[in-house]
Amino acid sequence: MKKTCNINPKMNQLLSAFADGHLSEKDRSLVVRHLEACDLCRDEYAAIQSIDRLLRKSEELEPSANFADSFWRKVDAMEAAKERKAWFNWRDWGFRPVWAAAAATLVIASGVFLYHRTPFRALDDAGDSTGLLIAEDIDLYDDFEVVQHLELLEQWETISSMEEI
Amino acid sequence: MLNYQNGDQRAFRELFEIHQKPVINFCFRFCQNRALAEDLAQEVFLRVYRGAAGYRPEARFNTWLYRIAVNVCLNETRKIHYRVQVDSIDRPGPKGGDDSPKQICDEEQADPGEKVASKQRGEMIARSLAGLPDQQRIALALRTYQEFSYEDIAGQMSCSEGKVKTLIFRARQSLKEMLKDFL
Ligand SMILES: [Zn+2]
Repeated sequence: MKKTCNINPKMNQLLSAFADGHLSEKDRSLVVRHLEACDLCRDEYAAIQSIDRLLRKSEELEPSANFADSFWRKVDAMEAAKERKAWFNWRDWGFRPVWAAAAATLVIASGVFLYHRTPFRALDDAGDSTGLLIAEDIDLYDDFEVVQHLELLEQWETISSMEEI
Repeated sequence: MLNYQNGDQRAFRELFEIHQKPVINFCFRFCQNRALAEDLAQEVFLRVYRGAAGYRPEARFNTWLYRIAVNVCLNETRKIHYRVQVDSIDRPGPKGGDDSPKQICDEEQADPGEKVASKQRGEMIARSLAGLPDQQRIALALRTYQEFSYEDIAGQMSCSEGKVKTLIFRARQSLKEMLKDFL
């Protein structure tokens, strides 16, 4: 059954803040004067103090024997993940242009190679454009692996964002 | 803390050593479950480890640490709709080692009768704390065990000082009823 002070119904709330030393000077002296005069509030204040004492007496856990070890393992795992991520970033931003350059070089090299192959040379000599021939017969690219995987380079953003890569 | 921000791992280790036990106990008072409390405490320190760059030197490290702890605990209740389960203070935790929580000793505690009474009291306190709304439990724990000011607690809980005052007052009112046999 809750008892409320008849003289000052707000006293209960003030007493809690008073116990914590969180009252303005004005409220503090109001409470001090009230406590001298009111038995009910004196009991209430004593109850607050015993609750605090009781709580402070309650059990204290010691960290488990492997608490620290298991924490540092988590830190190691986190650091390792960070390193992996850094490597992906490097590959994402550093490696991709290398692939693109390699692909471009191979495309040019294949063009030169195809250009120098006799049939095309003959055709070229006959006035046809090599580029046009290749464009018409796209299967000619299939011998060159990087060219086959050009679509992968286009999808690199998506692929590199996948966890397992 | 500033040393740690400058990349000194040893400084972090020291912080971890000093604060691990109080943080575990803060989490334990929140969830009343040792295994979960230790998981939560580890999460708190992982966030400290990761978030050192976000630490503002004008805030005391301790205040910042418990702001993180409050967030981790409250997140946990949002994440899992768990039922607060009161561990028996005699039951060893699942992680082995010196698991039995230590009662802060009274002189009389050598008496077996007092031991039983103390155990009952401890369990009742745990149950009563568990019965409080999360915010009241957190505010009261920060005040009673960590001895933060209302102003600090308001910052840690992202609310006004007036709200903190009310939360603590209500928590005490409820505990007074629940623990009246022990007062
Ligand atoms: Zn009164």
